[in-house]
Amino acid sequence: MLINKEANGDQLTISLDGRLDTTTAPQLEAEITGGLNGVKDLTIDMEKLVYVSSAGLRVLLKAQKTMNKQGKMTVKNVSPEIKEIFEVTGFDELLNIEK
Amino acid sequence: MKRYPIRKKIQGMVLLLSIAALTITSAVGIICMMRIRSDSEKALTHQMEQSLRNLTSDKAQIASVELENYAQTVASFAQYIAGLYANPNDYPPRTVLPARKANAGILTMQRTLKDKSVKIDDIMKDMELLGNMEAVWRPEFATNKKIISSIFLGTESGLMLCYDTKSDLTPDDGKEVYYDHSKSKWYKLAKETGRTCFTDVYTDSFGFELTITCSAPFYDENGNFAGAVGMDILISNLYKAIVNIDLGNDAYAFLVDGSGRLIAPPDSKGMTAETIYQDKDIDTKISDEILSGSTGISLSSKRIYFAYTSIESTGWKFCVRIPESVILEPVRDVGRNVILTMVMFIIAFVVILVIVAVVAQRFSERLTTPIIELGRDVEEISGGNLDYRAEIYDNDEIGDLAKSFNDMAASLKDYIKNLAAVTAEKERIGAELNVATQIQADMLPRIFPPFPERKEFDIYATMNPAKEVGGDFYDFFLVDNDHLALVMADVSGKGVPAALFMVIAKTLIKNRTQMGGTPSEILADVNNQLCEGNEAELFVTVWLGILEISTGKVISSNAGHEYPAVYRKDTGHYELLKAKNSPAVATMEDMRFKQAEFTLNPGDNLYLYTDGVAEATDIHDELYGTDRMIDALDTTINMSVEDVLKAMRKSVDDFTGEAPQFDDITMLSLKYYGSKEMKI
Repeated sequence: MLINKEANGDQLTISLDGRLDTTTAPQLEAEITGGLNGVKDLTIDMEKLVYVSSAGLRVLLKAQKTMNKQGKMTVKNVSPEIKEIFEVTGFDELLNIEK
Repeated sequence: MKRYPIRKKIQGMVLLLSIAALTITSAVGIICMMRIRSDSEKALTHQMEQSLRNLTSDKAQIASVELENYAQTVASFAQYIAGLYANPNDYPPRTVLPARKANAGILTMQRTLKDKSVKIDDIMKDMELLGNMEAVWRPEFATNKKIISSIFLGTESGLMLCYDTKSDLTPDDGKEVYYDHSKSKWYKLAKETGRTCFTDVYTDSFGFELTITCSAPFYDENGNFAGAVGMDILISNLYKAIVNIDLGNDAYAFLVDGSGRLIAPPDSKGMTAETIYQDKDIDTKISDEILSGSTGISLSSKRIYFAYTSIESTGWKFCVRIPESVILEPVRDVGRNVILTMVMFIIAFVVILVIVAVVAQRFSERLTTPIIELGRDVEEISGGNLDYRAEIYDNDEIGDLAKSFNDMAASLKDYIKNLAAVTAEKERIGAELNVATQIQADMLPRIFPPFPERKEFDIYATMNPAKEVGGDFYDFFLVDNDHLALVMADVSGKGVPAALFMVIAKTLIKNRTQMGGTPSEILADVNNQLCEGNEAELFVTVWLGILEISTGKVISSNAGHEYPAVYRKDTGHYELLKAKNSPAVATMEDMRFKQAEFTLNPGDNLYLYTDGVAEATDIHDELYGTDRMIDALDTTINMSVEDVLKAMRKSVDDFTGEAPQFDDITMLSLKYYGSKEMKI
């Protein structure tokens, strides 16, 4: 999986490309742990993301919880497949998914 | 491919460079010497030509002056005689006696007559007048005794007077001596040409000396030709003076007369031919050139230089012959030097090449020996002997390389030591994880059938972790006599943390369920408990259903878990039970969980699973998916619960093929017979 970060002041956009699963989730977790200091507006772009496993969901939840304390987090460009995963897992209620 | 060791390459390159350098140096040296040789050849030839021109001109000048002197002397005699004829009365009569042998060796004037038709009385007057010439001739003789051998005159009237010492051949009887002077060459020349002239050279009557006769005509008082006066001149000395040149052994000078005949004293050396045309050293063309009277220098086809000029008074040709080799002797020395130099160059060449070859050999060996040694050392190290150290020969690049190899060997040794430690640690952890897997598996109900006394349903479940310990779990237990709780859950993440979280979740859910309440209430309580101190941010998706065994009614709550599949006997197909899901347990505190209800009719089946089934992936990253899962389930309708799970497992494995198992695969199958019906 490729992770691309684009910072603009206190705004940060993280673009994900590939599969967010057991193997790749630690990469994103490493980015989020300590990488969100001072960030008030986090956007996660899932345009090129093809799959999210439970391990990936855990990292997204961690990011959401972090951002709940210091600003807001938005998830955008969610494909129908990923959307279904969010719905099945109830994450559509936890995450701020941009329509 | 042919192998060229570095040693050979160095040797080859050094030799090639040396050969190139030596060849160029030698070539330049030889070319310079050749040029010097060529230049000096030209200079020498030029110098020789110049000196030959001067020489021939000088010699011809000497001869001309000398001969001119004689000619003038003879001409003065002729004038004197003309004076006698013009004024005969001014001179006393002088009687001249006939020639006598007794006078041999005595300088005296004697008479001869042309023939017997001439009577002495008829010519007495002439004789007595011409006898006065003795007074003129005597001092001349005295002055040039060694050169003049005889002075004489002859008249048309038939008288001849000779003044000399040569009376050896005459008879000694006091009578008249007859000699026809009019047929002599000197007489005829003077009479015919009417001027002073020289005869050809001849050897004198004694055969010792080269002699030439100079003669001049004289005329009587009326201007008629009266006779000729002549003088024999010994020219051996003059000849010697002229031809004596000092140009080296093979060079000499010679004279030829107007007809090309060689003028040479009997004892002269060099030319043996009589005429220059007979001399094979002289090309005919050059002979013609010489005789034409021109002055010049020619090189014959025999490589001999001929320098020649004409002596005006006699028409003689003065020639110098000198072989080209004599002229170019100094140049030949240079030529010999060139050859010598070339030989020395070649010797030096060979010697230098041998030295260079030996030095290059030594040097390249010195250079490559450490490399070869290093190669052996590295082979020893790469063979596994990490304690071995390469020998460091020189403090150069090869030495650095050897040092690097030693460092590498040391690093390898450390690395292998660490690796062994890490491997041992991993093996230990692996062994412990195997134990953990066993413990985890033991926590799940694994005795089938679990409730042999219950005839209303059959139940079977399996769990196959992707790693040693997984995060999935299933559970089923009787809450009371009429209620069966079914749990299918999946902890986010894998490994030991997920396994520990799973243990807590499973325990909490079972304990809370047995306390009573709806699935919604149960999950809300479990959620809050799990959220406490959940620093790892783990969560668990849970499907919890409570079956009322007597009626088949199921109350369920789905916290972010996969939709269960249900087989409806009346449709003959499986279908997904889709309801609005709640978020997974332990995501947020104080969450509310939605609740759903459905009923199982006798003959219906319930199939619970984790995302390890629906999201199994093949090598092309394609998902197994719920559609494929439903299709597979439809083929299992008449199977026992155990066989259903085996068939599903096989279907998933067939789909994923060689792709590794990403996620735990956990399944539960429940067949509901109903309270009235009994299972077969």
